[in-house]
Amino acid sequence: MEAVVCENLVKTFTAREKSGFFRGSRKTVKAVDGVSLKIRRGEVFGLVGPNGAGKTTTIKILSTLLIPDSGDAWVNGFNVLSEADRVRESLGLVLSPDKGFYSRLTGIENLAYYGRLYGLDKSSAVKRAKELVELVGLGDDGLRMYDEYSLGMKAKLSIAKSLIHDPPILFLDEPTIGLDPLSARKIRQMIDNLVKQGKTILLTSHNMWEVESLSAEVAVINKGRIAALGTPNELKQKLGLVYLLEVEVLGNGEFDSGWRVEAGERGHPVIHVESRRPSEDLPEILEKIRRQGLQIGFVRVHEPSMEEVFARVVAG
Amino acid sequence: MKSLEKFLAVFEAEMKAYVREAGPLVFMASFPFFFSLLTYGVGSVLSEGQASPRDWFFQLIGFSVMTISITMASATAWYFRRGMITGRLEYTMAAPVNPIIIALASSLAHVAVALMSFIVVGFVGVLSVYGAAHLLNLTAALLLVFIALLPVVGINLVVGTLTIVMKEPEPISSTVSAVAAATSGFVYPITMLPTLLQLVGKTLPYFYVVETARSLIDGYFEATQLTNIFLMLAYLALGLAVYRLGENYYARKVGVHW
Ligand SMILES: Nc1ncnc2c1ncn2[C@@H]1O[C@H](COP(=O)(O)OP(=O)(O)OP(=O)(O)O)[C@@H](O)[C@H]1O
Ligand SMILES: [Mg+2]
Repeated sequence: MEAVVCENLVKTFTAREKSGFFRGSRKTVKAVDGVSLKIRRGEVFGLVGPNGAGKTTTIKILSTLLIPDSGDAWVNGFNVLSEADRVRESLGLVLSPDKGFYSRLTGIENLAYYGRLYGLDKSSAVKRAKELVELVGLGDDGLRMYDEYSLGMKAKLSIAKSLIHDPPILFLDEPTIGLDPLSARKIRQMIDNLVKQGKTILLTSHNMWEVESLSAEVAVINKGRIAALGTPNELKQKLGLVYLLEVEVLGNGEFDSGWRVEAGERGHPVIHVESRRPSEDLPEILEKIRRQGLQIGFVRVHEPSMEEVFARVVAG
Repeated sequence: MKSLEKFLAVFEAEMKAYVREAGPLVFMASFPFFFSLLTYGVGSVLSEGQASPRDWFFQLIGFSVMTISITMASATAWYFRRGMITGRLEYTMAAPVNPIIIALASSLAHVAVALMSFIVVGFVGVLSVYGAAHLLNLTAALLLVFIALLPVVGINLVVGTLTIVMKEPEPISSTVSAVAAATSGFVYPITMLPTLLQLVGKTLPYFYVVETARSLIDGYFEATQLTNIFLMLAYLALGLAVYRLGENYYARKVGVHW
């Protein structure tokens, strides 16, 4: 059984446009336009797409915060419309890393508040809150007021909040937005550990590298529709994205290559080859060079990035 | 049992957040003294010294209930507005909790803070006008004032629901507070008001809060007043129903934050 299944989700909003003080008009915005997804258990599923593509709206439908106009969805086997409370118990949610807490309560008090909302009694909630504060690396800051927190501290508290009832499924909407590289890395390590523990994670992020390194599967959503879906490698192959291979050849003797050769930064010739199958092409190139009795300086492989996948899918 | 735990979670969190924000408590505990002294002073001058300490006490209770009403309405409105702005309302709505529990628990936290200020005001007032023997009356009054405030909670939940829809807390809560202040006999006995205002005042629950407090402490409380208080509880049912519908048919359709 998949952790999350949704079929043909559609959600429209009424957008209010104003011109002048009071004059205005309404038009409908299709935020989600027929999204269908399946997320396997124990995996990270990356949802990427341009601003306003419908990622957050999809997450809110899946977490029962928004009722879809049509379509259906199941989380942990429970229906988001008819078994909303079961769905809510099954998942932990981060909607934005810098929001969601009482500013006049401490980190631990805030966590305990949510723990009790998820059905823990007070003492277990406080105990769990203290454990989580340690787990996410907040330490003594757990005793400080939330309104004094830095962005990184808030992000850590958000992750802790999503774990308070130890749910099997997590929805993390841009959990690393605005974080410094080290804090973001810590959050990624946490995500990695959580998956190792068997949790299923739906992750959105605008950091393509992050999505690629964490996700088993990625969906690119554009204008409310899924425009591409697959593992990062599948997506690259489907789009025909190529690897760029560079091999530096030492010595300036003539050699017969048949490849594009340019002078490299160290003065030696560098072979440039575009390849769809680097694991087959690269050994072939090296072998050919060695057979001509030449020495190899360096070998570089430039992988096509998720960013290119994103650009191709979104910009066409 | 779990529902009680959830109720207490919201109640305690809201209570802590509210009390740490000392402003409302100071306002509710100080405003009644200043304004009752003002009206009492003016009254004494106008009636050439005829105003009695008991008149002052009536004014004191009137202003106390007035400030309580104003603060409670604005607290409920801000509970929802701040909840939207900070994203806390969404997380709360994403938890497996009945919305009625959330609405009741947050409102009752505001009632509890209101009662704390009422204790301070009532204690000082009773001691200085009636003497220590009447403190027992004050205790009875507290209990009934609590019940009489529940209909006010109902009205505030309608205010809260409107706050979610209109996305602005103050205009709605202030309008309700203004109507309550003008029609509930806080300052002048309600019988002195124009008929229309009397009618509005007697339809709303605020008048019964003041009347209950005054009459219980002074000793002229009658059983018929109880009937009125219990009739007013319909407002609580109304408020809870409106909030429940608003949550289901508005908040989860349009969203409470983006
Ligand atoms: N409550 C709402 N009322 C009106 N329009 C909304 C609401 N929520 C979202 N929208 C609109 O729906 C569309 C999708 O928004 P959504 O927040 O899902 O995008 P997103 O993919 O999460 O974008 P981002 O990367 O910027 O977070 C946008 O056009 C947005 O303006
Ligand atoms: Mg978003």
